[in-house]
Amino acid sequence: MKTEYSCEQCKEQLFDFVNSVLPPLEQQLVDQHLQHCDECNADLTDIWNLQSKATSWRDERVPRWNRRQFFFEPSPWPMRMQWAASFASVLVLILVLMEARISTVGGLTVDFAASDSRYVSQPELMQQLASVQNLQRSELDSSVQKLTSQQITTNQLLLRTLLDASRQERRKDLGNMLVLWEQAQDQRSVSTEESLRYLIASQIQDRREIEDLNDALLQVSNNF
Amino acid sequence: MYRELTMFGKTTDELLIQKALAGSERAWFGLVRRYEKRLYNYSLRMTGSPDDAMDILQDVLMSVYRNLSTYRGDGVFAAWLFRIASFRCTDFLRRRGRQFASTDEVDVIDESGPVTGNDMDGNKGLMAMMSRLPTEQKHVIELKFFQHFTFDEIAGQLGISSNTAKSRLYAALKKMREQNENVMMVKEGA
Ligand SMILES: [Zn+2]
Repeated sequence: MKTEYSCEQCKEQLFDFVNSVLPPLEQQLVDQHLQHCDECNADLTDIWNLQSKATSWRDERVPRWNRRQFFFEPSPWPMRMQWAASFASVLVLILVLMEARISTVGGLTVDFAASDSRYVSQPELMQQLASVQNLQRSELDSSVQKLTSQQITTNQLLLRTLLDASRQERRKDLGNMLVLWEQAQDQRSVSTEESLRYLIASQIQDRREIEDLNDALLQVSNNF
Repeated sequence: MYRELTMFGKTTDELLIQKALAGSERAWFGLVRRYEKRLYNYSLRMTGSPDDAMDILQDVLMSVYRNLSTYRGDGVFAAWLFRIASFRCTDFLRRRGRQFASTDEVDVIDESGPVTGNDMDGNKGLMAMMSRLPTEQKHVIELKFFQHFTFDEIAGQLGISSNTAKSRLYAALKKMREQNENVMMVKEGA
């Protein structure tokens, strides 16, 4: 004979209860609990309501877009897409920045968003971009080395494989950033500056944000 | 156009991926078409904006395309895809949150004021409700109610425990209920 459900046990089964996929005994136990628990009843109503809203969602059509051009004939601009890069690369970047304790953030004032003038002189930009590139490059190398020398758990091994695999790509991205910038000099406009700002903002995010992401990342890696 | 791929029934993601990796553009587009609508609508609910949803769709697909060779081929391509999408959405919403540092309360007042019954129905109403949730709760609602993942799957996707996923979901439901009650009160008061 089974005892009555606690709220926690009830909530555990509530979704299956709503969808009537519980075995008879569990179904009955949830039922019993619901007869005297207002809180779980409120949750049940919420689930019902939201579920009916969810089923009334009408899928919207994807706006027209040129897939071939997007994937196979990339134009030099916007770089945004190319820079948004890969999932793996983002992971690597976060790791790298964490490992390096983002020593560059303070010294490297590439903060366009905060500057008053919209226009940044081109040599200045080139110089800043180049220094970002160099720093990132050496940080990548040192982080990969550091990881290699650490004692390796299974999770770290997985992450390292990921690191190694996307290391070359990340380097290539950094190279592309400069090349593309040069290519786009002619069409220089507010929008190109916007894109650059975006690029650099996503390169050098503030410490807190990166730490948040890193926490999430560590949890993910522990679940590998 | 895709006839030979679909001749023997639905081609698996795995087969399309294999062909795409071998250089078939057609197979890659097949995969894109298969998921883009689901991904677009997902991003739409997460961001509430068609433009942002399109940006995210493209970003995610480009990431997938570039990392296709790292996909482990364990038969859960959709889960992999949506894991990338949820990372991308989190990143996007965080950045946007910093850009417009407005509080939840302000949003609620702004949006619930002139709301009429019709406005709250359908896609728009749902997007408005979702927009007031913190990102972490948004994810869980989306994955549970629209992608129909189990709590364990959601936990895996978001890198949290199954229990955390559950408590986030119930917190989100509670928040939505309170907002609904606010809207009702505004309506009754008017
Ligand atoms: Zn209860």
